[in-house]
Amino acid sequence: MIQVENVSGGYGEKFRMENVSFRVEKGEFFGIIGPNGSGKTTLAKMLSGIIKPERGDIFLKKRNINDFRPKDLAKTIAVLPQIAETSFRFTVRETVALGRYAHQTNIFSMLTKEDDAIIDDVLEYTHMKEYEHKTIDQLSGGEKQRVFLAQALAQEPEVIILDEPTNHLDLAFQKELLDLLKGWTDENKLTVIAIFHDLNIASLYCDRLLLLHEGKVHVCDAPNKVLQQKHILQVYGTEVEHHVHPEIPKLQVVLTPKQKMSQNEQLFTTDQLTFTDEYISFRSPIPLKTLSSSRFGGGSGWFKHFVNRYVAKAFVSQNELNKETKQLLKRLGVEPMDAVVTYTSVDLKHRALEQVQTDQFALFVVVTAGVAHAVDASLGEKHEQEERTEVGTINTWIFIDGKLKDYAFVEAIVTATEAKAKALQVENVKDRLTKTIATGNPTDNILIAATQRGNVIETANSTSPLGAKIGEIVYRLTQKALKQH
Amino acid sequence: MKKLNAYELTRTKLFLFYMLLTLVLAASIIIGVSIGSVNIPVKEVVYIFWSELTGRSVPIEISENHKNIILSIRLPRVVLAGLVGASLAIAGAAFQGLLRNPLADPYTLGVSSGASVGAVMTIFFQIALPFFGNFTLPLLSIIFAFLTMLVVLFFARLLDRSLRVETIILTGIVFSSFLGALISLMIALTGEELRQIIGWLLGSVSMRGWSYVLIILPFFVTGSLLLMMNANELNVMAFGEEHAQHIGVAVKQKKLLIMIAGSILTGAAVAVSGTIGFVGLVIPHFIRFLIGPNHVHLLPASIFVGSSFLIIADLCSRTVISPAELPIGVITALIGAPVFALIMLRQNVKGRK
Repeated sequence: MIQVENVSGGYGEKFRMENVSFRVEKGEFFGIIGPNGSGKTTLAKMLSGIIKPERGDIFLKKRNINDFRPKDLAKTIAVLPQIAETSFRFTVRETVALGRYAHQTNIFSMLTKEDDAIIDDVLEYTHMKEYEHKTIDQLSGGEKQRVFLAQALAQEPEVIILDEPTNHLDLAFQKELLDLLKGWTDENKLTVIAIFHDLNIASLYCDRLLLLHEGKVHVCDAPNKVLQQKHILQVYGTEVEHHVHPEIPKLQVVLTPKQKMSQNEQLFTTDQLTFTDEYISFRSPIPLKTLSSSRFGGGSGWFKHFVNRYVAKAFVSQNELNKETKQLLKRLGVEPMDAVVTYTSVDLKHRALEQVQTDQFALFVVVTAGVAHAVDASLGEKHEQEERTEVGTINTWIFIDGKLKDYAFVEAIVTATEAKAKALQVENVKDRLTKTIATGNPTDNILIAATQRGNVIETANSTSPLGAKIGEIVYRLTQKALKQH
Repeated sequence: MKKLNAYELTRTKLFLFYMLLTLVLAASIIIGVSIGSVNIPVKEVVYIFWSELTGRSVPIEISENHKNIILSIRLPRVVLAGLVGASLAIAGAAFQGLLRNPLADPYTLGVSSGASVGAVMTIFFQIALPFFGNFTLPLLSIIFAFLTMLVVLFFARLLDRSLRVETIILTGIVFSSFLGALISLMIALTGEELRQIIGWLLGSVSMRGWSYVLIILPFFVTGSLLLMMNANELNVMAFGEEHAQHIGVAVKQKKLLIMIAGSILTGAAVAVSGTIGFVGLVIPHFIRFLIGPNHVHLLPASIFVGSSFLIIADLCSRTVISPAELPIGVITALIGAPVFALIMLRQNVKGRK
């Protein structure tokens, strides 16, 4: 659709393009990103014919863009401006009707029936039909943006260029606008070229991204390749972290603000633990990055309050359980958002805890254990039809003062699980149905929570300093807690 | 006049609006012709027009004297006032649209002063271009008006690349002062032509006769047609030149065309009547207030209202302190400035709600 070949130019010294080449295919959602002053807007102005390249050529549908007459160009490319202000009070409909300019041929530019039909259509698309007789100064920023989108669409373009389209828009309309455009590119009706300031939005919607750096193309590729840490560091000069979008396979980047934390302060003391018959709770002074199998606050997240709650054997539904838990938390003065709660039907006296401090990390482990319903995980299938009459649960909490990589969290869970299984083996705990050595209870939980400050801990496998300690302590504490049974 | 609801212009409303404008203009012309040192009844005026237009006899007796007063003295004066008012109003509307500024008008932009310099120079140096004869003064007025416009824009661009309207207006005012000084200089140096220059400068449509109507008419027709053909371009350019280019307007050509047309109208108006302020500023505002900013209707409506306004203003100027005459510019400023202030005030108050 568009071919940019070795283009240089721009205005002034600051906003110049140097030897830029790329192609945009028909129906593509193409994003242009880069820091301020990298030439995004200059490039968009060249593509829309406002600035002529000093060297190189831009081809639109295989025709040099310089050969287009203004009206012909407007029939092919429409631009949604960042801001279009006017001191005159045009109505919404009048403003949108101006988009038909390029299609009008008579000298006094009267609108035809066909023009009116198209104006009605685009007003419907952008949900501005009911506002058509309002003047634009009566509209909010988001509504104005929609009016100009309708105007651009009234041009019936094949390409639409957007300069930071999500500026001034609230979240819902950002999504609505981009979903709308994305839909059109999917149906191959429209090619979209958009400048984005927000890398994450660019990653979510664009098929390809062009990353500009000081007027040159740094990289032009799929979003997941362009948003690599090295590219961002080279172009934006800052470290970012990656995480994955929870629903779709798109890379997202996040910034980590500078944090000041005193390293000497000992974070884990037994003072922070409270024991009652109903629960064991632990309050951390700072939020901890947590990965756990809990049904309340489980998965990954940041939490300050950790509760191991005793529930009687009479089973209630998970929903009711969580409702009760919220009431408990309220009594404790804890915001449910800040808490992870594990459940156990084992008497909370069956517990063991231990604390270790090394140069690299501090470790604090709490285990409550019961094995009334121990199962051999390799033969779990046999338990499918079984009525559960008795419950046993081993809950293992592991608090680490140190900075763990994502995979180290998983390694810590693996190590702790292995140590637990070993403890059951040594204690000769049997699966009552299969008469084989049990590996744990189906309701067991493991929780890893780390401060994410101080030394980076690369690994928690069973032979690493951290992993070895976890293995040893979990093994010992599980045994100890079981013996108290 | 009742403001049309939210500028919702249906065909019927537009038709009624134009009907109303036509009636107002017709009434202004008839009143303008009938009132004067000798009052001629409206009925007689209408019959005189009727008989002149159709050549048929009329039921009342028409005094030959009245007929002469009307056709040779008052009518040309009224028509001239109408054409000047129309030219200034439509030029003002166009400049305001082009510069995206409701405060722009031929007067604030220095274009009027430029035209004045052209006219005063013609009188001062007794310039008579070959082939142009009587048209020398209007032609030079127009050329100077256009040159002034170009120079003002050029300097404004030097000061501020984005051509902010404040810059343009400030530059316009500076140039107006400079050109005013040039005119004063020529007045100071002149001997015999003093009366002629002063009389011209004060701005008047009196004692000009049909020849002046003939001078302004072609420029008025050309300028107005050019502008009305570019009404939609003006609409688009009201959103900024870059945006206009995106929508498909050949901005450079159209801008030049509109500036030429505006200068032709201003130059010709100033050439036949001297400098008359406020018409170009107030009339377009008044119409936008009634029907919104769409130039497709703003421009023709400016012609109607501008001409009616100046005909009435001229009527006031010659009757208020009769038998003496006030300069017409005094009347336009006296009516125009308060009306302008009122419109601005109402718009701002409404905008804030």
